[in-house]
Amino acid sequence: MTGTDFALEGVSMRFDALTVLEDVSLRIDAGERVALVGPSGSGKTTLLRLLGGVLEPTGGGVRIGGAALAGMSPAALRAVRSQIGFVHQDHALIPNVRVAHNVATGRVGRRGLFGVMRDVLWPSRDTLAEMHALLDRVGIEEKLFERTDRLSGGQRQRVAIARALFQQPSAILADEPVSSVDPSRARDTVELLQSISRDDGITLCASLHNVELAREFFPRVLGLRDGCIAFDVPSGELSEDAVAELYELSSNEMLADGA
Amino acid sequence: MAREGAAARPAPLGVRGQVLLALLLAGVWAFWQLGLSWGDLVPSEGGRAIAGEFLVRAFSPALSSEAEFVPPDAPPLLLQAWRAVGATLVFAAAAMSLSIVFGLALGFFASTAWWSCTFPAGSWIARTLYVVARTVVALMRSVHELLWALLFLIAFGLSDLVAVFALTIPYAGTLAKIYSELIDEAPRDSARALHAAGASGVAVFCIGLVPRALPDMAAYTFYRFECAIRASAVLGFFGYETVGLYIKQSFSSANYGEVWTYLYALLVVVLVFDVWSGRLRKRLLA
Amino acid sequence: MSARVEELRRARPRDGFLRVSCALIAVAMLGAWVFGGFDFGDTFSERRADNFARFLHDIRPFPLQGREWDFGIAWEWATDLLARRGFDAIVGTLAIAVLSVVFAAVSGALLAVLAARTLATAEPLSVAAMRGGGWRAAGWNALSAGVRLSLIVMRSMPEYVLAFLFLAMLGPNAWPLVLALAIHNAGILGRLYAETIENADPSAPRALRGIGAGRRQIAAVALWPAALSRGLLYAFYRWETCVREATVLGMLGVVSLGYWIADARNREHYDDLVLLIGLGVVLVLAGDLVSAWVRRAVR
Repeated sequence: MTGTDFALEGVSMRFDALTVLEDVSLRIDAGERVALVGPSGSGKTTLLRLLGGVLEPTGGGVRIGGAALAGMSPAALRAVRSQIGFVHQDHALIPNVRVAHNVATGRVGRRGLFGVMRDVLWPSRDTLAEMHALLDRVGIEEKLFERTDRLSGGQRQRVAIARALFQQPSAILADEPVSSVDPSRARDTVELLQSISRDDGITLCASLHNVELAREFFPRVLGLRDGCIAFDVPSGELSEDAVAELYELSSNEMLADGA
Repeated sequence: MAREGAAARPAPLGVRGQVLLALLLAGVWAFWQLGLSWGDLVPSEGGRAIAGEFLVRAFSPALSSEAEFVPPDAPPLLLQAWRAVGATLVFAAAAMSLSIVFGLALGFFASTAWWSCTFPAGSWIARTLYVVARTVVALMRSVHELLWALLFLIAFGLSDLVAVFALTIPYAGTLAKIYSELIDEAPRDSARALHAAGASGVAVFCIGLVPRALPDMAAYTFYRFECAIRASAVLGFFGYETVGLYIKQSFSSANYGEVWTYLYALLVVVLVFDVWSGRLRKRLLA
Repeated sequence: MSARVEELRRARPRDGFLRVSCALIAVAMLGAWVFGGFDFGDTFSERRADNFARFLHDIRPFPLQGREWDFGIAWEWATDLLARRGFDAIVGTLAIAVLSVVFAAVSGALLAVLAARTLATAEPLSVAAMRGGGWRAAGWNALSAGVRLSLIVMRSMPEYVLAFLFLAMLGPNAWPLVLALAIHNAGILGRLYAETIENADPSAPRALRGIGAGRRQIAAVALWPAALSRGLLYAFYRWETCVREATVLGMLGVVSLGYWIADARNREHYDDLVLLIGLGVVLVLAGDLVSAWVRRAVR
């Protein structure tokens, strides 16, 4: 499997009066691993959703795999999205069904409604084996038929990753994948994402609160502040000063945090 | 009470208190409007005789027919009661099976989520179709099943199948209303994930939203099934062979023991269903 | 690998009760169609089609029978009928619905206090461990279970059957209808209110119990106000059904909309009948609107 590349060209994003991103330009090459860091409200989630083709920018253009998203037909846009695995901060799983059912929904972009229904109600041997292998890879193979809401937060996170992998994606976008787990689990999860990206050669872009993890597992770190790129450096060159400046609270942000 | 300065103080009653007070006042008005008196709760001479005779028989329901003339081919009373309960259940089950199918279909169309999934945001077609679906659902359920039964009885004559349709129309409407509300209130997070994975609008709706509302929908459907059993029993008053028919007939011929037999038969069925659906509800919504 | 999947599949947690229940219901529904003895041929027979054609003819407003459609005449006919029957019918139906919902809510609330498992015990809200007095505890348990059982019995009887029986005993006034609706709905509201009390945050009542408040004081001070919002919410949900039911209960022979509908049927004035059913639709929808409006206010 090969990765896909992303490009943002002068992208701005406004929600009504609120400007979340301002004139952001950025390239992520195929197979690259990029960490997004920055304080809450700096626009990390919005940036990821733009990269995933879920949001349409209010200004500028997004390219995924070389193709411009603007003016794309809904079907073509869905095809692009189905190539990108998205790991959501709140996992966004269906709680009252089995793990296997949640994993099966990952392939909805390619298999369509009835394909997924089949995979849920009468899964073939191969499909089950494939899902089991994915769960094995994320370390919870014994939970294949468990009800999703009986799992711990960390286990749910892994189900969400398995669901994204079942998409056979060429890129994974992860929004705060470790915000809801304890520090040692956080390290495991980031390491897992890193190994997936490295072994399968797929692009990985994850937003993280923890700069140390970003530095350790991602060759490139991108700092975001107030909707602008503060720095974009190889992790070896990331200075303590830059990090301190990124998280230094301005009065502006204190207001945003209070809201 | 309207002293000066009173207006400056906060209202002595909150909105809830006012609603409660208004409800109680409306109750007083209704009491007066209906010309009721507490004395009427005590039956008059004739009524007292019937009431006494009827209530006493609660302790000795009939085990065999009490009619003076029993046709030779008439089944024994208990078998008759068994059959009446069976017919009641058949009408209820048949009507519920149709109601669930139509309720699901209409419930999809009557939910805002369906239209926001299948049409681009703000489409006037979607808004029109939504209003049409809601109106159809409202009309279906605002006519009582007995009135549908009466209308169909006049229009088509006595027919079991038509009675099932009479039950189905308001029940499908009610299910559709509740289903649509439950789907619209379901959390949207898994729908968001499916959207990001490239799912079409219909797939987002069916896989992302409906399963989250499904336990509530199932619990409510069980409750409606219980209601359908009661409604189907009452259909007997219009000539269908459910429990109501026999209650009416036996009561009219003053065979009060038989009435109690049928009442107890109905009671047992509904009680069993009530307890059963209560336990299911706990399982489903656990 | 496949063997492991099979092993996991066998060991998957299953809810047998749920599965059996769903299977039973599905079988019942299918069985109803297969063995229910429905005569499909007869339903769609020519005789029924003729009957239906005659019905369509009969529901044409009486002054317009055999004439061309004229909105003026139709309007005059409709307003005349509504003026003669409509007002009484609406007022009677609404009054029955209002009174029954008030009775149902009041008695439901009183019964709920006795039915709630957290309250109707020897030690309300279990602030202290149960002390000795096994008889006292057993008495409360029996009372509470008895009330719960009677709530089930109350709600399990169809309103129409209850009204029919009461009518024979109390004679043709509005009481039988009001009682029938009130009893059935008190059974439903009692259960809902008891659940509300059971699920309510127990800290305030516990604090009161701690300073020595009695059962009645706890109910009056801590539980009622907290439960009032939910209580009104549920009462107005039931109000919607009460309006619906009140329209038809009149068919038993007491003045509400149903009485005039039954009257029109007996005279075979099917045009009037359809118009009055239409009036019922308006009434029910208006009741729903009131309910939705009030529920938004108290939520």
